[in-house]
Amino acid sequence: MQADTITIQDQFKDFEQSLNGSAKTPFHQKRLEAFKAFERVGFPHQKHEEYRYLNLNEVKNSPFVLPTQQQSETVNASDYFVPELKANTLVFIDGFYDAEQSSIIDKEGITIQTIDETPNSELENHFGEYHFEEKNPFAALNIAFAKQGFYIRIAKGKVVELPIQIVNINTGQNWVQPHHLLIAEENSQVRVIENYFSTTDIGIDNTFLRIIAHKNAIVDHYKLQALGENANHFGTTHIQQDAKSNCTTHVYNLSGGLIRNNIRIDIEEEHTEANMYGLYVPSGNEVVDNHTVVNHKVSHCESNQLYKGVMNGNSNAIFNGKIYVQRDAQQTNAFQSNRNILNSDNATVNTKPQLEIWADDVKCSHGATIGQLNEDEIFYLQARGINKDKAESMLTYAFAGEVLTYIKIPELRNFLQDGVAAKLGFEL
Amino acid sequence: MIHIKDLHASVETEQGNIKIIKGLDLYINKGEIHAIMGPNGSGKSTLASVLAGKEGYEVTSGVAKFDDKNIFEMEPEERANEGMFLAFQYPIEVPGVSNANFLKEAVAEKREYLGLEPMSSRDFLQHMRDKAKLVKLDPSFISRSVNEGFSGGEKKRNEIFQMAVLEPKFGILDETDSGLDIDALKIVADGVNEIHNDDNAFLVITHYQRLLNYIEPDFVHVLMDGKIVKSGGKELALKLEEEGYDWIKEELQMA
Repeated sequence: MQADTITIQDQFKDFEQSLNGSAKTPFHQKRLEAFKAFERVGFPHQKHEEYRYLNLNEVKNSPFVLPTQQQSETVNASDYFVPELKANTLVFIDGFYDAEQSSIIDKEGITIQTIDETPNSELENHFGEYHFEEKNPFAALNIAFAKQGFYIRIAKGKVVELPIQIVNINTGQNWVQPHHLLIAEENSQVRVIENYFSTTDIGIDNTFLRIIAHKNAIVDHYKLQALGENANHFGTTHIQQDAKSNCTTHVYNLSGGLIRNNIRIDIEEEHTEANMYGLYVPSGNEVVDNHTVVNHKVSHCESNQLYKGVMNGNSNAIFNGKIYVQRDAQQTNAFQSNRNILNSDNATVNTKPQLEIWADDVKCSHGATIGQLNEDEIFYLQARGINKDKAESMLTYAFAGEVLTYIKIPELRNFLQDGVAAKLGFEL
Repeated sequence: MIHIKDLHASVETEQGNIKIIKGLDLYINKGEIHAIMGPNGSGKSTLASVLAGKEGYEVTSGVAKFDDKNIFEMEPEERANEGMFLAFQYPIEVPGVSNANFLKEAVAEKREYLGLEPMSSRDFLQHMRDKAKLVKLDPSFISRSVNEGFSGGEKKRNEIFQMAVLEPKFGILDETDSGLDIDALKIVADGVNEIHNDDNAFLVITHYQRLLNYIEPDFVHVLMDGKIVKSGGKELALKLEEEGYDWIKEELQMA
């Protein structure tokens, strides 16, 4: 532990030196604060309440080295694009932006630039504002080293027709740490797809995306993870919603050795709607951990959450869903559901709905189920001539597929339907 | 076609196995419609479940042959693919699986089992549309999830629709009439009559005589305490409707 801390501190010093003059800016102060926050906690051990079911020894014991060079010549990024999808595409290879393989079709009303080339004055109010405290040292670590990533601003009233597709490809590097900011100005609409892939079995991602939805903005966010079997991924998505905005996050964990997502929505102003969907289908020794927070700070808002999992092999899934309803958040409707199917005796699910309600005039509900397929349904299919194995795989796919019906981009939905069916061994 | 001899079967419950069918004999020939009536708990639905191969039911002795093949040596799906069809008393909702995919899979498996060429998507779609018309099912149901959010009547109609699509040799209707109003009952009965021909047979399990006004049986059997205690023509059903089952009990006691 001691040795690792020194390594990270050395890395941080080197990093500061590489920034030259910009290390004096207020922007950099946020990095310093974040680094201090990280140092206070370090990599969490399993006694930490938020990391009880995650064994991070492998991550802790691997040397902390930031990637220094992009391997873009070796990667054909278009292999990883959502097929048939017309999109504004940003490609990151090992956390470095690859302009050649990117294409930004929409220009009017959209600012897309690297955070490096974004003026400090614009970043200052948005960058690094995160409740990393003790709960998410990975977000703190990302912010401390934030350099690569995008600043995207959608102008007031702009409806972005083509989705923004951010394709992140890890070639087996450790500590790939993209940091993205998306700001949807008043009454704008945008859909953003954040996809993570590996070209090898290994690598560590530690990602951060912050979305700010101003008044009446509509933001649909999709995150897909299809990573190598020994790859680690830590991801933070933080959404802030102003009045009458409508944000939806989708998280699809297709594969990866160890995945931990922290998805947090802060509802700052009234009459907003927040939706969270998630699907995980781990097999083998995969571990997938989704921690979500919906923080209702004000009245007359609604949140809906549906996370589903299908577990095979020796896999391990964790779902922790927090809903906070603060004292002033009267007339809140907040719903949460986490449903799991265990298809293997050796798989594990730990699910923990966590509602903390301080207001007294609210409608909140949560439900968590862990079970097997329904025998009556299997028999019904058999009674129509469908063999038992096929019946089980049809029903398993149907269970998982429900979440995919909420995807509003048909090309992405098709892509994920294929991916989920393949993972579950079901022929569409 | 169907040949059931001295069938004994029990159902597994938390209190242990309970004997329900206690020596049942039944012979059904091609082209015939048989009705089974009987008071609650007499074993009507158990018979349907045992024939279809539902888990939780144990055949303790006796034989049941379908075209000379032993039913009890077959998995439920093999029985279906041989040409048996059970219209469920309580059709199951299968969220996320559309009627179209469900039946496409069922038809594909059946054709493969029988060594027939697969049906083209186009032919299959036309086949489904024709059969939907036959049972007056709104074609929009084809793309909806199996039975999800259907009313009781719609579920029963969907069973008959599935039966029409799968074209069984032997259909079992397990209290298909329960919960149906007279209009829905007529639609279901018309569907069965359309499907019925000289080469197939039906076993209609019902509590009430009314259905038999629309699906005319060749034989009516009375099932009591796990055995067929009386058989007759369709006039027997009318007598049961008017007089109940007590007179049969008395007859049995006298014998």
